Amino acid sequence: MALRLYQTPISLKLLKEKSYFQRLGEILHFSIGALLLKENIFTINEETLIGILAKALFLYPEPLPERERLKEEAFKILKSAIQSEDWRVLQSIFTDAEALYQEIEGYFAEEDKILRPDFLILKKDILYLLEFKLRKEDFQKDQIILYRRFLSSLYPQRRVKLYLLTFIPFRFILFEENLKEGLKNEIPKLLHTTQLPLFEKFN
Amino acid sequence: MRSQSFFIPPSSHFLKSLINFLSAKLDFRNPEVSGYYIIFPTKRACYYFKHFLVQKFQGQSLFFPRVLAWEEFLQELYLKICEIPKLLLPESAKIFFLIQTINKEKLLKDSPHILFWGNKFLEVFEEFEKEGKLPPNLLYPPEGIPKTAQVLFEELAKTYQNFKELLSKRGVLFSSHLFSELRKLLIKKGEELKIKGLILAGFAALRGAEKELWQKLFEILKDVPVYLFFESNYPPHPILKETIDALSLEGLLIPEKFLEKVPSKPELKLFSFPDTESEVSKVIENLPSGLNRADQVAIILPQPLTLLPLLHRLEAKDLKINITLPISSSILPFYHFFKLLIKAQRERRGDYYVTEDILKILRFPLLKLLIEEEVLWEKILRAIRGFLEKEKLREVSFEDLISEIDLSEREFFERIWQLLFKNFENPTNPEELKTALWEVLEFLKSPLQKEYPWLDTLEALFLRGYLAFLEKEVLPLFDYSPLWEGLDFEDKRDFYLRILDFLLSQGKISLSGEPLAGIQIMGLLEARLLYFDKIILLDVNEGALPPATPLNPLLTDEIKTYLGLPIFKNELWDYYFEQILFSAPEVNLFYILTSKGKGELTGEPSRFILKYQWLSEKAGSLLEEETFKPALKPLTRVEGIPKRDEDKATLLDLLERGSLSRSFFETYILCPVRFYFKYLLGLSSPEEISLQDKEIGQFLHTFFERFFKKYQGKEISFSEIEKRDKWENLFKELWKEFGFERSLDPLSLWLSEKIAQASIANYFQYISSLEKEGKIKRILILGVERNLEYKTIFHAKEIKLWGRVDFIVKREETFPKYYLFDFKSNHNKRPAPKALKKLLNFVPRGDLNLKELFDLQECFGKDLTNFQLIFYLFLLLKNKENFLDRESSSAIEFNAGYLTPSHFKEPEKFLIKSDSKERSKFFKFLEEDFESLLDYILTHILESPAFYFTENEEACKFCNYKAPCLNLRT
Repeated sequence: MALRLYQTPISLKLLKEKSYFQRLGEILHFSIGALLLKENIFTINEETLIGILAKALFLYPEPLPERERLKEEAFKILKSAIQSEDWRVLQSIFTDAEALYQEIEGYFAEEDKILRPDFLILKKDILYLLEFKLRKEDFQKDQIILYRRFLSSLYPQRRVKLYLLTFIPFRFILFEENLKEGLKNEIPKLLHTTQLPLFEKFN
Repeated sequence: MRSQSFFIPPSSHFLKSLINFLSAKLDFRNPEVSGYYIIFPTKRACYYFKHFLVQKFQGQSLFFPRVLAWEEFLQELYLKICEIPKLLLPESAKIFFLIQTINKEKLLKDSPHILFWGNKFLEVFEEFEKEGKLPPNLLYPPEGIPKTAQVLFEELAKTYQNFKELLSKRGVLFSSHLFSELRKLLIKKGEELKIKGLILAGFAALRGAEKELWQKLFEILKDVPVYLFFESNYPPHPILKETIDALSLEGLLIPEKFLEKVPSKPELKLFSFPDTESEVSKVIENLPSGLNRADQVAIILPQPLTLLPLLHRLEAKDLKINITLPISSSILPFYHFFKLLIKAQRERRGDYYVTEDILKILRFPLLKLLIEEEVLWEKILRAIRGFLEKEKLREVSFEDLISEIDLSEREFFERIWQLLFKNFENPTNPEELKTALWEVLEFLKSPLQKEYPWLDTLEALFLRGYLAFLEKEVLPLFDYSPLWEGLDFEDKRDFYLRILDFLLSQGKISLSGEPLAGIQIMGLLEARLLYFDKIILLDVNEGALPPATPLNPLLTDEIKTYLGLPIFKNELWDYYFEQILFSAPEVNLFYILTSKGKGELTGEPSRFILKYQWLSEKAGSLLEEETFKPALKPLTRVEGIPKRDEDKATLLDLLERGSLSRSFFETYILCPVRFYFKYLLGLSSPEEISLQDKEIGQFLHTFFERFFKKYQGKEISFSEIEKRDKWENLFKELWKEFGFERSLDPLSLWLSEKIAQASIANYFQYISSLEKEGKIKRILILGVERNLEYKTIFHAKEIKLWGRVDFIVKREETFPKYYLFDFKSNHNKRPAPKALKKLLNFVPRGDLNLKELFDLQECFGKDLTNFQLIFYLFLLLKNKENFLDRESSSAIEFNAGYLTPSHFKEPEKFLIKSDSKERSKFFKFLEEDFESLLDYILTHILESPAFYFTENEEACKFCNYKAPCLNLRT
């Protein structure tokens, strides 16, 4: 018999429990989310990027020695992101979007879990879910499937389209389309090519 | 839309009633709800709100509104409306900017106190931040505060302005400045704030700056729903009334249909305990079985120090717990270890460290636990300890220590030395000091990971909290160069160490329990707005509830009046206490009640208990109290440790070795249990590295030994040697050899040297004057450090009795006299001639019991002061033919005495006076009976039924075996 402590875990640098890339990923997470909330995501200038990055870094208040390095690297990644081909692809989704939600928090009753999908776009009868990852290999299929099930439970009448957005390199990838009818219980397939030429390398 | 405010009685379950209200207004299945902000004063209330919200929707998925604690909300608001945020620094960094602000000249003049007073002034500044005011200058600062503080008060407005300007110039921000920052931003860009609705839930009193911020927010959010919910019975507590009036709101009771429970009175139980141990034991008894929900039982600790005894009591239970409260890092060994590292550096002189500091660090239990090379480390420590016990140096260097360590172990010791000492010696910049600290942590890391896998032990939990504090609030500051600009102290190294010391002292470990599970252990503030089946509120004592806040001499009520700051008298704590009483159907109030005789209380019930008792009595219902008396067990006094056959065998083995000193007998007569520890168990005395009292005595002893050695077997004239030049060289040489400059501070060094010189000069003059008076005609040194022995048969075994006598001297007085002297550094040491009479009349009864031993003790005087001299005199008599000239025995005299040169009036004290009536009887006893007495003592040692505990309490005072003795005795 022993006490069981339920305590919020604190990750420590000393024990290398949070890597530089995890921090970079978190900063980019916040920044991309904030960029996508801007009124016109296709006219973003460097000044805006600097402001958004400063806000992301505000959440890491320690004057970290790697602060400057994080800022520089994140700036480069964001800059190349907004100049990339894939950024332009976002246009089709964002045009006429009804509502945008960054890191909306919800409770998925079926799994008794609190979830926080990265970015949600409501548009007519489609729900677009954008999942951000630093690199392609960070992607977890189970996680995105869980999000889709959660959204479908709240919006059984809407189609849910799942996208993966990676920062290094910047890619915008359609994961799977959940059609309105018939596919609810089907196990989703692995990533597949889309009609877009930029996904060619992905396979 | 005008903001609306409601009261929810605490007994109606604040959070659930709030959810009932909001469910009627908001659609939680629509993502739009995420545009609503629900703000609580605590993070804990946020977790519970979400928990109950999920419960409310039983099995349905939903979206959450933005549920934030007040601090988080301020930061989020700031990020929403600022263009480019400033750098948010930990509060501990404020002191750097304040020091940079203060006039350099004043800073340098009072640099040792600048951190202390600087910190106190930051508290003054914070009061103004909270009130949203600017401080005035105090032209006539209060008297009695230090000059530095007075000058700072005179220029308070200017210093504050400079401080804020510096922060602005550096682009940094502190949490406490968010109010003023946000106020400015909201005035400029409030219209940019996009919020669908705001719910402020569970706040009580507002400081000036908070009130202004709220009013500004209400103004900006006039077109969206804004609700305020206060936790209170109706009519509201005066503090809430004040808040509502200040915000020009009209508070109403929430409509009854939303109340989760009908308001009710709790069942209150009051318990008083004599100590914390019985208090926490009662907590365990009071826990219901089958604890599953996180809202069943809360144990609330207004006094965080009770956490440790409570957890150790709970440890044996199979329970889930959440702990949510901030505790001071000073409960952790790591904290004390780092403080010791800093102290050692600050007290270091060149290459020399204060021995005590070195020992405390090297022998720090945590270090021993974490060093993987345990056997090697123990060996090194033994070598160092042996060296220090022998040399008794007050200060030591690395060179001193390394030379005492085996060659094969030196590399390891050098590595440890480098980490714990060398790395901290001369940091030329802050980063170097940080690196030194970080390397210590790195060194201790790997066993730390091994010993404490993740979060499953209490130790690991606390340690993680502390390491997180170091990583977030201490170490990064040493990397951030703007903090250190312009801090050009003369002794930079010392300043770096002082600031590190200061930062470490600010440490708090914030424990936060998540996910919600089992018993809730929390602080009173963290328990706000929550509702449980049962609450156990501990330490409802004065000093804990309301808490005793550390006094800031710059923020007394008088000064606050001068500065125009509000004075609070625990009104808020009164409100919190009232709410807690209604936050469960069953509330148990525990307090400590102890008295210290004559009615003086050391544990006193909180004023809130007294108030509630009075109110209950007035309402005609007495609050019942149960008092727990200390469970006192009558102590069973044990007379002694029974002597077993194997003990007797060990004793016979000791005799078999055939050599017994006076200490063997003395130890037994004084305390047979001490004898048992020393000779039977072979327990070495706890290390005694006394570095101050004994060393000058040791020096004098060595001086006389070396000085007289030159004259051994020769005649000596004190009239001749009393001249300083005859002994000064030896004195200087020996003084240097002892190295007192390393073991004494300069003043003690000077005084000690003077005392030592005076003691020697005095003794020589004393004898010289006896020579001049003709009382001593001739002196012959017969022996220095001379071994005397005598062989006899005891218990059918040949036994050698032996002793080393400091000095044996023959003096020609009216007739020849043979003296033996034992040198004593304690100038009060003297024989007890009166006890001799008892000794001469002592006849062993053969009882072999404690009483007989006690009688025997009395025969040798207090602390057996006569035993040594008698024993040595006995040995001298047995060896007299080796010393005596051809005189007849009847024409000579023997005596023994203590030589105490530091006793200026009487440096020689003798066992028996020449004219004593008992003299011939005593020497007859020595010749004929003393040996039999020793034999009898040996019989007592071997045959008595037990090793008795002494009844002479004086003997226990300086005993080295106090701890094991106490354990065996009761």
